[in-house]
Amino acid sequence: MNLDHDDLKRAWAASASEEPPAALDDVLRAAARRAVHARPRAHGFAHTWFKPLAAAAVVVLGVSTVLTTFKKPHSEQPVFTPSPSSSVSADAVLSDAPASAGPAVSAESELKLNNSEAQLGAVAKPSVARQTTASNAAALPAPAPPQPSEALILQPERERSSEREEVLTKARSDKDQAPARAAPAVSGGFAPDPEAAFAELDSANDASKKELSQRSQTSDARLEAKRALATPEAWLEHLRELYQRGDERAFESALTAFRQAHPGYPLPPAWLSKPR
Amino acid sequence: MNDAEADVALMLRYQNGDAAAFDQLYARHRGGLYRYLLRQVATREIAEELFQDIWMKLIGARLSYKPSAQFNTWLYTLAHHRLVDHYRQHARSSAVEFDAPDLSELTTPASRLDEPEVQSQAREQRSALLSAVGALPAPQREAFLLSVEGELSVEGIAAATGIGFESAKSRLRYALSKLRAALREFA
Repeated sequence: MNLDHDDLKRAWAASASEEPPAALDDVLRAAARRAVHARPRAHGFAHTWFKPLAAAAVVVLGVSTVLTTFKKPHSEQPVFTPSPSSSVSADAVLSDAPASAGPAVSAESELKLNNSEAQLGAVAKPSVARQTTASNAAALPAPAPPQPSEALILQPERERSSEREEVLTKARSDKDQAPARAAPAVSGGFAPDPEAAFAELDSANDASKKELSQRSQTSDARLEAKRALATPEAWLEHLRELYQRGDERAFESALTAFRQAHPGYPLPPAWLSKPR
Repeated sequence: MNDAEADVALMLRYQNGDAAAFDQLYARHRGGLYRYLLRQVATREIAEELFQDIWMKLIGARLSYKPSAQFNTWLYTLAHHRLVDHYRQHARSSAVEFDAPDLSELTTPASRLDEPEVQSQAREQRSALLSAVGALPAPQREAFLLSVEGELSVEGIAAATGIGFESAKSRLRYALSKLRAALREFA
């Protein structure tokens, strides 16, 4: 006889017929009844409040993290939008341009800059500001508004000369016509001599120029550091400009910085000897 | 309505508060579950303890019951997990000694019971079968018991024990093969 699964089942059913004790049956049936008649467990607020709270906390944290992440760049780099009514002239932009706070130079300002640059030989002109374009300057913060004296100093020489001539002429005619009449209130309405007033103004201008020159040098140093991050070719171009301009001090400092950053980079032999 | 559907319907009724449905459900499965446990633990007392735990667990979990699977698959899944817990908690005895079967409840046709030779042979066959089941490796024994006591299919065995279909099929095939070999002399 070949026993199949069903035969084994039958044989097993005949062999194993044990049953649980009746007392256990009673216990379990009673427990089942008790469970049915017992009050169902409350699934109220006390058991469910933590899930929505956790979800809300996660949402709040996520949103605040995202907002913080996107706000940071704006707060660190405020975008400068040039105002058309700005009274800062191109020269002011040029001479007051700090390395970390370059102004946005418009095309008009750039034009003014080129015209007036030749005339302002004595004023220290940061060469970097000339290379500043509107595109990269837009990302830089706005410059501090210039002081009145600075604004006056930084007017183009030609304009200042014409104004000066105008004032002098007017003052002389006033002096001739009415000597007792009060002079224009250049120095608090007390200095009747316009020549003296302009001399005083010029000395103040000189002091301001020195201060601005120092500031621009500091700015130059900072820009040099920034240039180190740029390509050596760009840096070499800048060095070439300085060399051709004959700005020895700036050239020397820039060359030293370049050689430190790129020791093995080939340089024109003329630069290694004493510059002009 | 077949047995599986009837079980599901009874369980859903019990879930909705019908205690009488539980009584019917319990009556249908108490024997099979008890024997399933009894053949896999050392003593009757342990089997009773586990039996009670499993039904209490079922009573407690009635609200979470979903009729996605057959009721007996769910019941024997609970039983398998409880058995595994028991094995973990207690070092399992090397050999399971079954209680002596109650030979007074023989299912041999009454007309032949009077024949001493038939009585003797049936007694020996049952004894040999119990011994053979006890000698099976535990996984094969469990697969066989789930098949004959829980009336689970191979898929049901796989689901209840958390193994793959092929593993369950293989275990059951090996178990049946060994049992057939043990009973061959009585054929």
